[in-house]
Amino acid sequence: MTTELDEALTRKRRVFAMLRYVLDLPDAERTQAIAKHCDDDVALASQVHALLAVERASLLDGAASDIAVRFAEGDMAIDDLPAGTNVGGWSIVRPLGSGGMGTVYLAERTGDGYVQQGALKQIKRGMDSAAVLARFRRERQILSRLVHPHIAHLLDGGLSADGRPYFVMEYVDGEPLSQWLVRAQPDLDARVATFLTICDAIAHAHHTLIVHRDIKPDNVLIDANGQPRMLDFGIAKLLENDAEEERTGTASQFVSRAYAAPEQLKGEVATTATDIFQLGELLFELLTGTRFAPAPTSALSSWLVRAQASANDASRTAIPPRALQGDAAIIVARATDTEPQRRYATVEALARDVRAWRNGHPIAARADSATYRLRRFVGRHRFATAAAVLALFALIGGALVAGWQAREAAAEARLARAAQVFLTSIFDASAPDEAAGNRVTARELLDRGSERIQHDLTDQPRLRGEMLLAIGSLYRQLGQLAQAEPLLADARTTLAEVAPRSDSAIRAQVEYSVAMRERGDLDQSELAIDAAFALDPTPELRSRALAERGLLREKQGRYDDGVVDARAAMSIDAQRGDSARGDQARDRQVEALNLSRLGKLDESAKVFEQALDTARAVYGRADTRVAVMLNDYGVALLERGRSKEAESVLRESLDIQRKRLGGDHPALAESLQVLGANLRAQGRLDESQVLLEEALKIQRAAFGDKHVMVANTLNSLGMLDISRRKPASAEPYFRKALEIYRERGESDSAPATVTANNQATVLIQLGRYAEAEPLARHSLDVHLKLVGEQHPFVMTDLNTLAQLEMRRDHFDAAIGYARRAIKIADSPSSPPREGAYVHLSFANVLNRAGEHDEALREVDAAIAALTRIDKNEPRLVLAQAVRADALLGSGRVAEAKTIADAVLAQREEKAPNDLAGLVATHALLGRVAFAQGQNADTQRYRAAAKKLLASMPSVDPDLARQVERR
Amino acid sequence: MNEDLAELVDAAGRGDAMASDRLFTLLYDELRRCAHYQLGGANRTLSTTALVNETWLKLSAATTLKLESRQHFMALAARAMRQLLVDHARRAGADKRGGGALLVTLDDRHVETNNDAVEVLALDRALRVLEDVDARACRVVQLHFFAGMTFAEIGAIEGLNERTIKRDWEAARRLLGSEMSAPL
Repeated sequence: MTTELDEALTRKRRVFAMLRYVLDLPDAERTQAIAKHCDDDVALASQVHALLAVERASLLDGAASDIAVRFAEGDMAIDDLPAGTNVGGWSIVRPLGSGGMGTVYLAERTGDGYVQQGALKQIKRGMDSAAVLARFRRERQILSRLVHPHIAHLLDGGLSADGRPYFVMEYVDGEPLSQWLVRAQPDLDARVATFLTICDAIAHAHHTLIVHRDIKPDNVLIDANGQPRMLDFGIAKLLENDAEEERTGTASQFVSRAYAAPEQLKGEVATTATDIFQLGELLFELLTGTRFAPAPTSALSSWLVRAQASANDASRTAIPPRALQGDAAIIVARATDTEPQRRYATVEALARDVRAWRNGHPIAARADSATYRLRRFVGRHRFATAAAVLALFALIGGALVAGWQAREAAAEARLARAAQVFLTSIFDASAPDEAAGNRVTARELLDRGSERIQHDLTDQPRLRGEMLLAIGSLYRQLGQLAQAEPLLADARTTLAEVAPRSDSAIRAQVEYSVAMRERGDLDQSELAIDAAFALDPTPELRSRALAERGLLREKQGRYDDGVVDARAAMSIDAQRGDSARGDQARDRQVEALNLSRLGKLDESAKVFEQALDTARAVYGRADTRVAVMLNDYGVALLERGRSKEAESVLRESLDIQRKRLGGDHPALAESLQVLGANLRAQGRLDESQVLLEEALKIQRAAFGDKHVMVANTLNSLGMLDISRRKPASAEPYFRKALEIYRERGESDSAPATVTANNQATVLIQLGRYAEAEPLARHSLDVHLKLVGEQHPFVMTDLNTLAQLEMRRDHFDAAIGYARRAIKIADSPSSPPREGAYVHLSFANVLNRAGEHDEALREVDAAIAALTRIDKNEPRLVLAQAVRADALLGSGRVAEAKTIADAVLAQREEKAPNDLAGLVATHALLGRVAFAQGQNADTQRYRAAAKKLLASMPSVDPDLARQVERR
Repeated sequence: MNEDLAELVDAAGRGDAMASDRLFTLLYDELRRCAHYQLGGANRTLSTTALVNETWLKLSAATTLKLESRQHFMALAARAMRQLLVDHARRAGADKRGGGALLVTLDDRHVETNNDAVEVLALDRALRVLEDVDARACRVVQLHFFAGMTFAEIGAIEGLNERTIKRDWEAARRLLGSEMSAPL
């Protein structure tokens, strides 16, 4: 053995020596030299010849460093951490494998009596660790909010001792998707089910404003139950270089290039559209068993079939080719369009088409995208339901994106993509027909969005302007004017600066105008809308601006002008054709509103019906947008005092919502509240109570006990007890509602102050003046700041304070407050019923102050107004009582007597349980009898009043005083 | 650390085995880090010379070393680089046998890596043969390929002219090529 090896080695040494020798010689002399030196050893000679001819080791042509670098790239195991190594409190158990970013280890963390497992990923070198860590700190809260059964969530992260970043994700015991496909050979249904589950997880992430950026088979694990789990959510963003984000032309190095979307390769910002592209690639791979290649320019429908046929045996899917013919290819092509804006707008839309394809229904991707236009309408949303808000939400976001899509400019396309991250996620989560019962309120999403604007977009003024505009508009739709105003003001100035003639700049003027109108600052509103017209808007925007000005005219009391604007808008939209039918519905709605103000109620109702017909034709009968219109129509009817018609319209709106949203959607609860308020106004208190309690139940289930919506409904229930003249029962409702506002730090919000005012009213009736006064004053202060003097809220506050001062016999102060309230009541935009109540209340104050002549004028005005609104208006009886009092004071005793008798008869008949009313009426009749000098009657009425008073559960001290009044 | 390094290199030069081992470990780690660091940098074509020199600079910083020490250093660096590549290649081979729980995506880059792995292991085996056949030619290959030294520099160390070294290299390549393509 040894000798044999030695012999071979000796031989090799001879060959090598010979080789080295002949290499020095010119080529021509080599053969001769070999022959000469090898003597007769033919074998030796041929070995030297062979070595001369051998292909020199090509590896040695390269550089060892290149190989080392390639290895470092390909084999992350080089950074092996031995078992037991401590990384940020995590103890390494064993390597799980390696991926594009670094080695993954199974790691454990021992806590208080538990051992937590995690997949620890140590990131390879070559990046700015400090920047990653800073970004990690910024994003970890957002990522930690990402909780979904199909997403492996982030547990921890930081810098390890050697300065490299690491992340710890939830450990999933499973196999990679690609391995599962080969091993389990799932059928088409199983593949599609897996894909849809993945879509669900991604959509969830998008709703929390998180984009994955690196969706690929290796980032999907199939667990023991066959369920997919997404790995590495948001990690790609954490690793992206800050500088790189700004710079174009450099793709992020941490995203797998093989699966990168075109915009990622160009180094552009990844958005939800990027994830949709990668989902399309994943679907391609699931269906064909081959890696994605871009769609062909022709023969698209057989694209997947051809790809399937080209797969190698191991990975070829057993899906029948005819299943992949046609729609499936169109879906994948739409998802993987090179232009992000042409892809599906949302993950849900992609998933919906996949389902439609599998169920044999037509897919949306086939529809001509040019005709796919998002329409908008604007109504009066002071009492808008959540459905209304959410629908508008979707529409505004959609229009913004659609507007960008219409233009070709690359910069704007980029902007649109960036914006989609905000918008698609926000409006998807909220589209009511899709996310029935979603617990995330629109408000919560907005707060998140606006936080991110301030945070992330400081150095991108155009995008910042657009986002301020979008979010500000949405706040406005939610009625959050305090939040909306600064955002819209900022949007207006920002856009005027960076994109002065853009549609967005015009839209910002319009939105600001609307916000100011809703705040009651009609002058500012008019200035802004004028600015919009000065920018020469496109027909679509011009008609919108006209419609908004129509609503402004309504507020200004210039109803005729409002009708003119609405009709002008309508004539533009009529020319814009069928695509503008949604806008036509809006225009008609504005017209109807102004007509109803002009008292042309029949004409108004007709136009409202037209608006509804159009909306129904555009959106379908049972669409939530139609429900919104019905709701607005109902509110308009209600404000005009046409309670009965309002009720039927509101019930139809409610039916649609029940059908579309289910029985437990918060939007339904808000509509129930509106109808409940209507029924209360009609005096149908018990029916109202049923609806309000249903609303409360939905809201408590949806939002928990401490939500503002719960507080709102508690307030409505308290109002019912006020109507029942049971202030003692009402007081706990208001108290609970106020507690909620206080706990949430929202005591200064508009709804909180309305409740505070109600509570003040109740406390006044209970004689607790000292407790009532600060509440009433706080309410007035906040309202003045929030909406200015000319607003119904302020009117109510002033009225409450007038009542309080009257009861304390501070008549000058009472009359001062009441006169201010009257000024607001007489303004054209004030709700007429409430206005009449204020006149009535003022009359009462004047009576008590001894100003009977003026009291009589006031009460007559109130009676006339209330009769106009509704001949059966319940407070007409009270008004007659006040009138009798005024007549008595003016010495017209006989007239007073007749009326007071009638009042008593009516009260005994219609409201026998209204003890306070009966006490007051008996007291009035006692005063009339006293004035007539009929002592027996006087004593009789007074005794009856006292007896009734004693039977009351809680006594209004002012009522007791009235009994003693002469 | 840097002060120690000069001593370490000197000690290694004097034949201190422990100092050599320690220095080898330092070099190995630093080369590995340098190679990894390359991944993130813009300049992907850094030569072996630059890589080793960078390692040298990093380790030695302000210390000045005698030529003799540098020779030891370069020899050790070459060995460290060779070991580094072999270790890498073995791991890549382990991966190919399905040792990892996660499959590595098979794109072009990885195919290339796996070829590298096979070649590097073959070169390592062939170098062991060459060492037996002609130790000087083996040193030339080590210093030139793994440490990036020029033929002139190697000649200065070996006390031979550049042409001789070049001839060693040419002959060695042929033998290595032949050994590498031989069946195991």
